[in-house]
Amino acid sequence: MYYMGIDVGSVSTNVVLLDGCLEVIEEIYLQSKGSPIKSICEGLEKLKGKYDSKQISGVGTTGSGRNIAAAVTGADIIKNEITTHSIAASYMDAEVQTILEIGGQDSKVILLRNGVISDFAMNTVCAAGTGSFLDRQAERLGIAIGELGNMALKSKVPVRIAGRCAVFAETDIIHKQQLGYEKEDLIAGLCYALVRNYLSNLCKGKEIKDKVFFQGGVAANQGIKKAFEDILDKEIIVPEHFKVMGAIGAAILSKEALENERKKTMFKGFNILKGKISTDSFECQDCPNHCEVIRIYSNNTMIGCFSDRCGKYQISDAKSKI
Amino acid sequence: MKITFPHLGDAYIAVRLLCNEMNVDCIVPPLNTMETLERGSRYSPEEICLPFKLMAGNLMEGIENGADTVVMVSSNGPCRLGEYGELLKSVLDKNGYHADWILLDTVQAIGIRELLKRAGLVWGGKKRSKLKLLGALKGVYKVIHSLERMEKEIHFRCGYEIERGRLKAILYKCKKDICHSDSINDALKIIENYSDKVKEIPLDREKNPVKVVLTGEIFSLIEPFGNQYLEDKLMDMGVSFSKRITIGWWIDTTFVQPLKRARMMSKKNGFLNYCIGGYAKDTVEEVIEAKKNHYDGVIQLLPLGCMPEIVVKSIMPDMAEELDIKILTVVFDEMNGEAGYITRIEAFIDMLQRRKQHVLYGY
Repeated sequence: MYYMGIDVGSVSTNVVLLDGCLEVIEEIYLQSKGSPIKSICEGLEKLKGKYDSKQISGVGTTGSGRNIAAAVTGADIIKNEITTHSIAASYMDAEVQTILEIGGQDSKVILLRNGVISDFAMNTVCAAGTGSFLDRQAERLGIAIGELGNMALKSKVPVRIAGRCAVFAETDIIHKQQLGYEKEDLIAGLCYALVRNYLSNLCKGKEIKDKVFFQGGVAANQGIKKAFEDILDKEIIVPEHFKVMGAIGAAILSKEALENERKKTMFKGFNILKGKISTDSFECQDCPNHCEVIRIYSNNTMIGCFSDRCGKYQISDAKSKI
Repeated sequence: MKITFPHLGDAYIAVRLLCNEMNVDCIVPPLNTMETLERGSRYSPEEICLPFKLMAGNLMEGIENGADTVVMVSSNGPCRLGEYGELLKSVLDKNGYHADWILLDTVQAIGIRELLKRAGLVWGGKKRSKLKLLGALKGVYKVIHSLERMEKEIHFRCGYEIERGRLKAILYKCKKDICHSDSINDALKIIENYSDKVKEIPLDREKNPVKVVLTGEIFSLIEPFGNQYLEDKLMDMGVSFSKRITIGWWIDTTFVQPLKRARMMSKKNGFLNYCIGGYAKDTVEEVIEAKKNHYDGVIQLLPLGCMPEIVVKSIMPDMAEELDIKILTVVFDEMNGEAGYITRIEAFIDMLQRRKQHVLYGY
């Protein structure tokens, strides 16, 4: 009895396997590198040797690539990342009331009350302060991304950096670099700028209550964690599986859904890896909507179709029954 | 003389029928697509609201297809929409899209005589029977209202549907058929026919779906492209929803019963007591109504840069707390990606669903 959760994000693809008691037994974190299908297959490949398809009793997908992941693997539930993150966090610790989540390209704040979401916000127009930006700055300063947090902790006097916009923040860092500030102080300054930006973008008018969980890929960065602690004046907890919380939530939800409806999983098995998975896209000309339709094939049979508004390319449809 | 007009939801269905009935040549611009938006934004001021850009695109396409007269309605001056006509004319003129303009403003703004004079221009100086016109107007009014009645019924029933997707399919088929009908009477018959079909769709009355109210800026609510087909998505998700602001509602409040609206506008509601332009006060009042009618949540829609709705947005947190109702604000912009906004809507509906279960099971 294993439940699989797949979180296909903009930067990383995470696969987790939970046992019947919902304990994490496998945790795979991969870079998406722009081709989600490939990374999903890569993740499954790693599990294939150890587990049999029949042992998987439920699959859930989440993240921005959740629909593609579901089409490829045959998922039982497809859930948005806000719900899955909160499910996972409240499962880990029922007392969590606030979740700060910073991923590759989006950041969210989720408020939980009595284990149920009561409010949330997600960055809308700006990606300043997310993982991609940190990645880029680390690269520019010639530091491994994993080192960024530790370096920030060494700083004594964080430099004040304009964090409103990612591009201008970079301009400001270059400027301060040219003035001769230390790398450590620059990085610590960057962390504070990102946290300030996050708080003013997402948390205006929201009550941040204990316990506060910090999850998503960026939670690996100790500098950001410390900046949150300083500015919010609260203890910030980074859960053990912070990187894959979305995937864990999806796996939990798949178990919940299958048990409620007393259904069997639709998981297609690890054999899908043997076939060739390809996609094609075209602009439908049948009506003025001009939808850009994407189709996914496995061994030349269509397994999924997206972005057609009228739904006529979908595999099963209700409209033929009228 | 050939007239064209900007799109506003299903208004084109009614305008086409009216023009057919009165023998006026009219050119319906192609429905809003990304291309319309791209063309419209090329010539529009960068920081203008989204509806303006779409309307500019519509009119450019209409004029290219041979129209020589633009007919537009405008109302509620304090919001920018009230000045759209003049600005659109100036923008299009400068870029080589020349046409005559007939702006139908409200009676309060230009007086009844001027309105009738302008409306008369639509006939191009030819004499038409006034009786026939009155009949046609009444017919079109009926078409709009019965179509909206059916749509409302579908939106509500969607949450209870046993086999998801059938009601939505009926709605689309009905609209398609009306587009191919020649007369108002045919259209009314089609609507009646489909309304009966709606009643035949089996429902699960035991269900307890999430119920939300859609409110916000009028264009985003009425024009499906302006809200990235939010209604379709809600129907697909099996959510029961209602929206008061429709074309029929607008006609009623602006032309049929302007006094009733004036009376409503003068009432204070405790959150926003004065009309600040656009439909801001309506939005606030709808949140209050939604709470009274036991809806689970409210989704407020607005295009980027809509002043009245931004003011309301800042009142929303207070309302959410005081009335204990969940509110999601979604801002639409030409530069927006689809993924983020779908996630938000899904998460909001999920949240309402889970809260409902939580209360039901009491744990």
